[in-house]
Amino acid sequence: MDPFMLGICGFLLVVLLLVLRVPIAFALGAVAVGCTFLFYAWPEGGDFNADAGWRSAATIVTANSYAFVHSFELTMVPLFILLSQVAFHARITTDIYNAARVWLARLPGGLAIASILGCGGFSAITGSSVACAAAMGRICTPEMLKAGYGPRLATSSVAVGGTLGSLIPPSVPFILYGIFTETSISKLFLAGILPGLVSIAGFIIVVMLWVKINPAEAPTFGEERVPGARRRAAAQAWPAILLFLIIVVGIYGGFFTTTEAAAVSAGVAVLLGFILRRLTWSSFFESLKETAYQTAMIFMIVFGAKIFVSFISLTEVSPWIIHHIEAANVSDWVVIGVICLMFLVLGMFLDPIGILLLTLPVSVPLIENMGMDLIWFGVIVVKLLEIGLITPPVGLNAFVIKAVVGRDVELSSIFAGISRFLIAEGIILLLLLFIPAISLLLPNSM
Amino acid sequence: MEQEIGLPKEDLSDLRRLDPAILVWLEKLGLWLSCAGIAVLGSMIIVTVVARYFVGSIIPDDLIIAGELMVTLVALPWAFVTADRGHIAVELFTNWATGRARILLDMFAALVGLVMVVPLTYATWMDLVTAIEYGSYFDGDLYLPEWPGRTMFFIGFALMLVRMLLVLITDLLRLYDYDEPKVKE
Repeated sequence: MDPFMLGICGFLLVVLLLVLRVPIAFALGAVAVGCTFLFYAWPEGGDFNADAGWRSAATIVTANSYAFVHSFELTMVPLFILLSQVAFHARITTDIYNAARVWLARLPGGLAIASILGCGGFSAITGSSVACAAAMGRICTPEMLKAGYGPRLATSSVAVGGTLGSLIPPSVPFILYGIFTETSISKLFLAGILPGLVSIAGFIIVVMLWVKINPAEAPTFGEERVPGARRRAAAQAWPAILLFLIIVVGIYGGFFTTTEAAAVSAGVAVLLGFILRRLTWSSFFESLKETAYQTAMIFMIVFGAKIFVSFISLTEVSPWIIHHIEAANVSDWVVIGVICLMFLVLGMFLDPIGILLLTLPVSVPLIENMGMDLIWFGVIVVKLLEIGLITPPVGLNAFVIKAVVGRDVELSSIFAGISRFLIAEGIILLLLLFIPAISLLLPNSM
Repeated sequence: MEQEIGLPKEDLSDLRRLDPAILVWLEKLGLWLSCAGIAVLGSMIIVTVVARYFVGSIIPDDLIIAGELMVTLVALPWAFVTADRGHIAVELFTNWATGRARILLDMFAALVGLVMVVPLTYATWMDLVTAIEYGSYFDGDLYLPEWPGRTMFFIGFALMLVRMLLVLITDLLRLYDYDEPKVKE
């Protein structure tokens, strides 16, 4: 069987299975196992030999998967998840929001701005956008609605702020991208910091303009000023700042590897939780349980993707695409534009990790062939995945916020609010595309 | 990862009618062993960092031990996640499906899962047998044997395979018992 055709059929079959609600891990893994079997059992121009197919497929699939999981570098995934779980249960993740809220509540749109800053702070400790939206949505959105904020602003600011979870380190998508593209995860983490800050600034500008044009969306309220409250609130945010500094300064200063930073920050979070009496044994075990569950779930997908990537590398799909693009003599920017469009369209329908692992076998060889920086491309990919989290019809973060607010706010109102932020997202994406220094300044200064 | 913190989960009572006590116990044990693995892994890396800076030495073969722990903590909860129907899927295109169509989609997903898991379980078993027969070990200071990690990997797949078969049978029973809602006249 023609390997190229097999590769294309494999891709199409995965998409079909995903549409039919087959879990991402099974869709990728089953197609990869089946197609790798066919690849060896039915070589081009040869006869069908099931035994040869089975032996080769089994060897390749298990050797790849076991060696892949048996990795020191990958241990950072469960450890960063543990950090986020412990920080969540110890209420460290919301400290930044509480501080920002006290400082900004009296400003027009102050609560929405505080929510975005709080999401940024949450993201600096956790690596999941959806978890960020879920946790912050439960705190910020009801408070804003109670303060008389418009439902569109109260919900969309948190849905959008939640997307920062993937961009600001630590970030699970960056880890997976780094592992699959064999790029430095430390550099990817550092590369995400400035784009994360630019995104926060962009979202805050949208809130300020929104409130300026329509002041009724965010009425100011006269909360009584308590002497010393601002200083106390800022001081209470130190555990969150400390954990972020351990990760960033540890990696940037060369004190730890990324994996070690994950372990040390998780350990410090546990210690802080117990010392500050915010963590009980029961919530600690709950954190461990959630970590084990999420790690197993993620690695099932990663495992399926790893087998799928091995299969795709056997076929000649990537070289074929590269060859035809070179022959067509199109500009690199047109190719980048098409890749961005592909991510945006897929982001409307698929889960971010699924998109990431499904598209990397094709997109990364293209980028490498064009001589572009894979760290920079990693930031672009994660930004595109973030945008996918808030675009209809799937827009996971919007659904998470909807689950939090229940019947109080319609889903259409949430998406209507998000549409204002999408303009800012578009501008930020263009900035990241045309000014690579925003992403590369910190990693290149290591 | 997107099993969001604290979000309500679907009621699984009807989806877990076939729950042999021994399997449920093994699944829970797998999850708790994974929790222990995470705690040991984190502690070991912290000790390594502290030892490097203050004592000037490290735990021998720490990278290999971390790899073995990683295999354990990743593979053992797979059956628990499968029983919980916790694997991430794209639901957008099948939201229209209700009743019988939804059960059929669930069965199809389990069948596709089996296409992946059956060959992998068999292949990991063969790898385990080979590792034991040849006495394979890791090249390091301690010459640690390969079989513990490979055993955990096989157990993870084997438990998941059993649970998937039960999920498929449960769905078959659901399909058999399913009554179309009667339309009011």
